[in-house]
Amino acid sequence: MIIYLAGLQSIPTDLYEAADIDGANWWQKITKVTIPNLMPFVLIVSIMSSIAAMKVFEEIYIMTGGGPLHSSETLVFYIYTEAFDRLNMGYASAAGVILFLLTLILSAINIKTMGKDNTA
Amino acid sequence: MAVVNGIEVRERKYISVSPKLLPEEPTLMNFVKVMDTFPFWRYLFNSVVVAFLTVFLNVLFCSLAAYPLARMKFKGRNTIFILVLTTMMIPFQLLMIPVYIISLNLGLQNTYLGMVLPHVTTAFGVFLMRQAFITVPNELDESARMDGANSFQIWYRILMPLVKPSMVTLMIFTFVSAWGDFLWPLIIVNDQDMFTLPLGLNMLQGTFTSDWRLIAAGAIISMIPIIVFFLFLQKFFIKGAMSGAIKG
Repeated sequence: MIIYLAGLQSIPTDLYEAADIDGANWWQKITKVTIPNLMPFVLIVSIMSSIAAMKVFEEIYIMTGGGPLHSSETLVFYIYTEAFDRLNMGYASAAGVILFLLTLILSAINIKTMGKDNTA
Repeated sequence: MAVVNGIEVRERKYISVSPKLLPEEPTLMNFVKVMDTFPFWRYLFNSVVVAFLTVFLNVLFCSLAAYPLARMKFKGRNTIFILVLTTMMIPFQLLMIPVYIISLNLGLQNTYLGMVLPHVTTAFGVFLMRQAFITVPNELDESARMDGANSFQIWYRILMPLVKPSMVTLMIFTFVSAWGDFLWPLIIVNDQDMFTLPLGLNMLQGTFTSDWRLIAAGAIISMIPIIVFFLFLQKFFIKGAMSGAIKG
């Protein structure tokens, strides 16, 4: 939410004024100005959500316990069960490293898009 | 939804058939009952101890670590700072296994220390405090040094009072995360007397039946401290603490 707000505020008002002068209605303003300018923020938010989704643990632990037949397991829940139910610490650590690599790749993409200057 | 369930009198037969907007027979009995059902005060006490210890140590260590990174000139300072920031990318779920093994070897199972220590310094906190210290003008440090203050005195007499807004931000963040933490206490604690509130609430859920009204009531009660803490610290959010420190 906050990221989207920052994104909306970062769109220069000149663009809207220019659209007004060109006779754009509100729908055209949204589709032709707001959404294209918001795209980088959409990407950032989706990446952050993906990282957060991989780390979901509590909801699953409480609600389904990973069941039925491991269909609702996330990576973190899998690490937890491997490490603290079956006590395969080494195996779970390896899974943890894989989780880290996945988040690292996503973070790298995230930083790349953040670094770009997206002023139209 | 939670509020509706928390003040409902009769247990509904099928909770999922038609969620209601308003409770049929409102009551506050569930809040009383939840205190009797499980050692609520004990868990509340545990939660408070863990949360406050975490907050206090976090502010102390993060600001102490941030001070040299923001103020002192030494070789490799920026490298160290970047390394600290890099640790933000490592998820705690990866660290929890080695941290658990270390805690076991140190005998920290079922202790407050074991629950607090892993969260005692965060890269985020160091980063936040460093940014706050950088905004404080250097002239203040210099004038304090002229008056014969040493580094430690500068830190707690000049810098800490001036970065109160950031400090309060860090405190709120830390408190909320420590209060709601479920994963780490679950791992490190297996003695029921040391449970924090989230763990206790999880226990209310039975294997075959769960009294959702009690769980909802307990959840609402466990939210109250966060709100109180937040409101209490709100008044320190006053900006403009810097004004009057330097003329011109």
